Amino acid sequence: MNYRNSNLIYIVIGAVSLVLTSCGKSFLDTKPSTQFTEADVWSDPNLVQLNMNSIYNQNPWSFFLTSLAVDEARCYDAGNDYNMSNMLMSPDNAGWGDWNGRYSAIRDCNIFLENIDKLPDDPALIDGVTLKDRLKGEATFFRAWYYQLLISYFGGVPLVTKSYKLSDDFSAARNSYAECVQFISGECDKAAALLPLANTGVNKGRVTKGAALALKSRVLLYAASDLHNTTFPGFSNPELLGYVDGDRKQRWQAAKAAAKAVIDLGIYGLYQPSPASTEEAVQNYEDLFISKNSIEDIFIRYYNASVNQGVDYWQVFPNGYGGIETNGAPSELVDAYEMSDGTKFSRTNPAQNLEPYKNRDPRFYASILYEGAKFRSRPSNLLAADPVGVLQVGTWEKWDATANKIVYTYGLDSRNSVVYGGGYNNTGTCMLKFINRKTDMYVNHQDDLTWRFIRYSEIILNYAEACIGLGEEAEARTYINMIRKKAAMPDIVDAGAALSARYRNERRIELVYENHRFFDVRRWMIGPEAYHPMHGVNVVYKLNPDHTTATIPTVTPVEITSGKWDNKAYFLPIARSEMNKNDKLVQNPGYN
Amino acid sequence: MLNKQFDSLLPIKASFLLLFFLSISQISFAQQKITVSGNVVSDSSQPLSNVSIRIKGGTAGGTTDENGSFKISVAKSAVLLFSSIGYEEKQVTATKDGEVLTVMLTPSNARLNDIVVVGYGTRKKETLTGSIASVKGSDLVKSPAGNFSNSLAGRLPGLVAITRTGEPGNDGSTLRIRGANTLGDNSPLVVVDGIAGRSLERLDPATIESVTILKDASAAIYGSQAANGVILVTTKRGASGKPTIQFSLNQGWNTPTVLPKMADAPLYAQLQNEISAAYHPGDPLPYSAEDIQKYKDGSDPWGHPNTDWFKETIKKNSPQRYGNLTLSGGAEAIKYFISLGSNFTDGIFRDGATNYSQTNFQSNIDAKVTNSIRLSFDVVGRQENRNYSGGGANGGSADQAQNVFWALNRSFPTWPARWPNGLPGPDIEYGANPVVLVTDATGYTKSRSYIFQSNVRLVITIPWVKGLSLTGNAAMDRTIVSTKQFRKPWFLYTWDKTSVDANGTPVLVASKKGNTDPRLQQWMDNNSNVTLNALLNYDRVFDKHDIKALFAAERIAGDNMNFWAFRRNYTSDILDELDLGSNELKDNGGSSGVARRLDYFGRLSYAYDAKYLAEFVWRYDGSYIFDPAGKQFGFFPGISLGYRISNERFWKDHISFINEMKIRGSWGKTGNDRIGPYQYLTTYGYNGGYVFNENVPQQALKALRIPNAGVTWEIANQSNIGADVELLNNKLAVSADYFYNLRTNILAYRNASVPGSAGLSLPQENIGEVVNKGFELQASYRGKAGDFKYQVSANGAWAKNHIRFWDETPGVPDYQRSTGNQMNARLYYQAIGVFADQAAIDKYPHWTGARPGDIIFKDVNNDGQIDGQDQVRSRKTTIPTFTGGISIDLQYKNFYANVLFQGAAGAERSYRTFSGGPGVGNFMYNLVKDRWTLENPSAVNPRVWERGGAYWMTDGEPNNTYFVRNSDYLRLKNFEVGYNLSSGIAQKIGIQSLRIYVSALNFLTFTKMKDFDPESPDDAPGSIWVNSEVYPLNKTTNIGLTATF
Repeated sequence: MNYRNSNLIYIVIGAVSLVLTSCGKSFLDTKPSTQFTEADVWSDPNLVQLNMNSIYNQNPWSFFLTSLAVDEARCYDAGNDYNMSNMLMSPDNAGWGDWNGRYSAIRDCNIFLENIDKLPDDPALIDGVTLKDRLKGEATFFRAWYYQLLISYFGGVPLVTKSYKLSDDFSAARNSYAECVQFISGECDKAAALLPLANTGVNKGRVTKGAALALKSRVLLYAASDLHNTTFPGFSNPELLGYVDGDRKQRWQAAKAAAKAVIDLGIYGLYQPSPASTEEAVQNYEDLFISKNSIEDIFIRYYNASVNQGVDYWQVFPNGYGGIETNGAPSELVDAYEMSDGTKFSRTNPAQNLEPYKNRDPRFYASILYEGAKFRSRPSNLLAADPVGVLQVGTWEKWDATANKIVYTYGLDSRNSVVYGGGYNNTGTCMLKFINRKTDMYVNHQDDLTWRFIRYSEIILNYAEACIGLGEEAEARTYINMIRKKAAMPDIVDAGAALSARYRNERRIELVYENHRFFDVRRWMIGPEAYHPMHGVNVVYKLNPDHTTATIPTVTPVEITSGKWDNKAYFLPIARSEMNKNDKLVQNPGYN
Repeated sequence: MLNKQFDSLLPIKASFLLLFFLSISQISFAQQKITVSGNVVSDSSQPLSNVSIRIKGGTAGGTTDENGSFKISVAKSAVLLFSSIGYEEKQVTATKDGEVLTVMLTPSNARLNDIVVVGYGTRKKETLTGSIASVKGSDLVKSPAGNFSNSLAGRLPGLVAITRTGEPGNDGSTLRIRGANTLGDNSPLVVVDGIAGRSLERLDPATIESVTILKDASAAIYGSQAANGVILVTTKRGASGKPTIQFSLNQGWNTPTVLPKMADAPLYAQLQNEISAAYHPGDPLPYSAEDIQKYKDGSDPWGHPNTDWFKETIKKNSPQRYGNLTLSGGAEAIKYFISLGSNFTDGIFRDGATNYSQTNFQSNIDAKVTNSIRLSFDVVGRQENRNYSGGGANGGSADQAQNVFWALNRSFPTWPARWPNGLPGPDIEYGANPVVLVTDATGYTKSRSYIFQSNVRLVITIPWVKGLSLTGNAAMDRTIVSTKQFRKPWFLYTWDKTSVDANGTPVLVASKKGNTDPRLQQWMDNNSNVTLNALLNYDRVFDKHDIKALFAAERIAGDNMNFWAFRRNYTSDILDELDLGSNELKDNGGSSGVARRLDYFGRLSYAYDAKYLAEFVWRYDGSYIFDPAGKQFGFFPGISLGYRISNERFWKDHISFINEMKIRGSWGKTGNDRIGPYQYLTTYGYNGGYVFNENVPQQALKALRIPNAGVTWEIANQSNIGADVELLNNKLAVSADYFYNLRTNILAYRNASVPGSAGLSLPQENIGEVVNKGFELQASYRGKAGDFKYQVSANGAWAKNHIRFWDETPGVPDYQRSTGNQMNARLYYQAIGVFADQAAIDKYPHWTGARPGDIIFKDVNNDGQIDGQDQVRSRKTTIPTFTGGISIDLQYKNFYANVLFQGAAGAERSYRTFSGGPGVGNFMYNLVKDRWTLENPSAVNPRVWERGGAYWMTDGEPNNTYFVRNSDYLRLKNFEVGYNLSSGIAQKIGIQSLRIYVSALNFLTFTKMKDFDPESPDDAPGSIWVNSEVYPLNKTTNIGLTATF
């Protein structure tokens, strides 16, 4: 063996072993590069605030929420809403209410409340409160909010107020409905004490004292309603669904006081409460829902397209304007709008039947697009077909003199439209509320929206409803008429059952598509009124005997979907998988 | 002095302690030396190079040079053993100094002489004790598959290869060794040329020497990554001899193995009328008899087209090409194998933007630096080009093929794909007219992968210790993937069915589809993987004791980094660079990660008289995935024993017709660490956002998991017994194996028993236990009759798993429990027929709202109602329990043929289809041909249904056995028929040899499955792919030639 060779060997062996041992054990000790540790988060006020943002972010919203599952909207594609309308819901298709999602958010609130005290105190006041108080108040509010969503669907649910550890027993029985209401209402008080009256600057859009008090108003109003003060025959655990003792009058009083507490804050008001004309009322109502901020806002969420967090309007635009029109109004909703003089609309009135969209409640014109209603300009390739930019769902019967027969032309927004065949709805109308007419689907699917989870009109109506419950009818009328005045509708003077019916219709119209009707139908126990076969309209510009085509269309209601009611639908089923995992749970009536 | 120098150079390393130990124990004594020389030739007198020469009872003595010559200095009367792959070993005794020998080697019949690649080394097959299967590259190269992984099916017993899709660039097979063993990741470890974690899919088949799979405890040397088995790929290397140039050229044509048959326009119109009558009684029927007649006779192509969307979108044949050039050869000092290859596969779409191409280069150089130092330097370079169209609109999937097949299933046959004047017809939604979606009218998606792999290997024969060598490897692999997607709006044309121009030609209206504005997104991924290892090998024979020992250390460092950027509102779609997009709404992102492993491993093999065999392998494995507080390292041992009973004297004397008989057994423990890292930490990550103050976006930070401090490896306990037999003069070889794998510590979620009200998603915990057992059988026979030579090989494997324990939801009835059943078995309602009429519905428990023509669900628990409790856990899954192949090689003079049949059984697949109701797509013909109607109440198939209107068919998600099909199949996977131009003629035209051939892939398929390929997915974990939305598998026919210069 020669000397040079052996040197080379030593060098190579040395190099190899140096490389292999150079790092030792620490070589394996890596850290995730995109995630923060628990200790990082709870010691840094900025990260804690970002953590709170994820609790905000879990608050569910879409254009549909519950409108397709009640008599506010129908679309071409029924899906699971078909099951609801036809009473086919069961523990096997229990998707409503998102039990798991709500509890997941509640757990985040619990974790937040358990850890927030680790954050060092900072005495600085922002909008009148310390950062820590505000964050505690927000977590307290959201936990109450998520529980309120759960009990609205299911009745009493297990109240989980701590974050489970791996070794805990996870099974939990449902708390009674009364306990849940008491808990939520108490948490609202706690949150109200911690939260600022108003947020400014970058904190605008965060929850406030008013939001907490308004949530309390809603939950106490629901609690005082018929649904929770009725006994379901044959159900062994009535306490899960409502009150089994106590005084209902006190509940109405609590509901009234809670609404009054919001009113008495004195910082909210109705938007443009005294319009000078019906036209102004129409404009005001439309503007309210496309405005960024308004005096009615109590609990809102901003969506903004310029920061890539806009709302996709594609789902609610008419198909002839580039959307799929999923929230069309059934005839039942259209017919619920009063005439502008405050009388009921009637198909048996020949004039009203001939031109059903004439002289209606101003809010109708700001909520629903109908045949011939002006919307916005068409894309360039359709300008020739429709230079004005209206909703076209009708069919034109035209005479072809050469062929000596009728030919049909279909509206650009109809199911037979040449523009778009896949998405349309068969109601013959389209939702307009929340839609900014400036939005051009052909430029951008997204646009801005401020969604108002709670707005002042609801509180006014809550107050009025509590007054009706207490028999304080004059007070109720005063508040209902505030809402009507804002809409340029004449005052009501009804009393007794008529007042109650009038109130319910007022709430239905004022708060349409705002996620109320589904719950209102249930708590008023008027299921059969809302669940039955639904109608849309056929719109035909008929051929006159002289072979010209009519300019006023014939609008005929037609049945478009089946529907029926079953009392089980007052509460929704708990999923079978959940029942299987937690043997302490009791299923709601009608789902076993 | 020497020792001191040693110490100063080397930190304390166990490997070198071993070296010292061996060096002390070295036995050497002086002896009389003689020198002999000679030539080694084949039975046809051709010189054989690279023949290994060993001195019996000693170590390696060298190899023959390119002329087959050798010269060796040995002790007098030493016995020289000459061996070469494919030849019988020959013994010659060196008797006197200066002797010149001519050694003729005869081709071997015995397969057991084959050298088989095992983990970190090679073994002669005769002394193997583990369950190992291998296939030569020369067999695999016969498959014209565009993706190398697709040529493995049916070749290796115990390897299940399922091709999910034929989309160029994404057409790899899902590989499973001995089926599925865990609820988690079941993919085997792929090791290419000794480096773990490389991919085999895009390897050039011309560069492959062999593929070996380690199925049992023999894989334990790969420790924590070996539980799912190991696939070892070895590439070719140079041999001594004059330079050889080989040139191959293939031209193939692809066509889908099967496409779904959809209803045509007249039938579709009829079906819509039936739906309307059933769901909207009293409404006028959507299609008149006149309409249906016009659809049928084609008399009105503008108003009543009859479109076969699949035919309009998919070509009959699409080409693929493959070419390769290799140069190999070398001399004593340096040997080389250099390969340059290129291939191209076109997509099946008409005017399609889809295609795949690659260019690859490989250079394997072996140099003998000194007598004791050998250096190898391997370089692989590859560029993979994947091209697709723009991928459709936002709202559709980003996966182009999925968009296309989704649209193909949804489009109406009563609508034109193209108008008679050639302009594209309307879309159902999203602008998704498939004939346009496949083209570059929608923009493009270009992905370029740049792969660079290098390895430097140094082998030092330690001069002081006989049989000891040190090998060091330093490998650096780098993959850069750059993807650019430019999506632009396109135009579709609609006709209002009335407007005509002065000539009576219909007036079409153009409308813009897809995104409203051109948008560009670019991605860049950068991955690197550095593997360093050092292996100390001791290989020596003492008389009848053959000892081999290996001790090694290895560290692997992986790093990846990625980022992306997006801009939109391009004013023009002519230029497509990020700089030119609008500043509004631009977006970007990026991330990175690391992987680290530190391992020590070794092997100790002992053979006595090549008769009693024992092997112990182990690995002490450290992984960054686990908690540094004591959970990072694990120990994985494997032991195997073999007994070559045929080498016993009594056997040779009495049972000589059985030439070889070996029985072997193994047991080992391996690990599986393919789980998300850092599960022991509570971490918070960005997840969504929220807008404050009208337009101020803020991030949201969410707790990503509940930590599981104890998280550790899955453990595979693998037992195997097997036997290898050769008989009839080694003509017939049979191997059989039985295995029992118990996988414990499987990471599974305990969520099945955690109610939603807990609000938490539990971390995965090491709670699952799965048993997988089965057997494998392999037999091959070869023989000849005159000029006719043949070989038939068959292999079959059966493996079935069941869950022994995991978190089962407590309240479920027995027939729904997954425990005791195969993993991923689904729950289905039991379809037992079709309700003929209302009376039939009234008689049997039924779903609320059932109507005549609906599927009858069995009331499994006899409670008089149909609900979720009536679902039953299926006995089958989408993974076959039986797989096998039969390979036949025939040769007659210069003609040859190779045929491979491959089959799988024991799996099922569900039919995924769109409902066909109004507004959404078409029906599959097979589901509506014998359907229930008022006139045909006793039909097999249910009535036609409206989307969302049938309890037995939610959109695309069948919930009952009516839609489930047996997917057993047998297919002529592969054949090649060729002709070798006789050497005389070839040499006249200046080449050494020339082979021309015709070959095919997936040529014939026998299955009961209709409309979809039996291998196509109806699910793919973590994927949105289902069979109706996936690019179909290809049938390939090919012609090719190979010339050697």
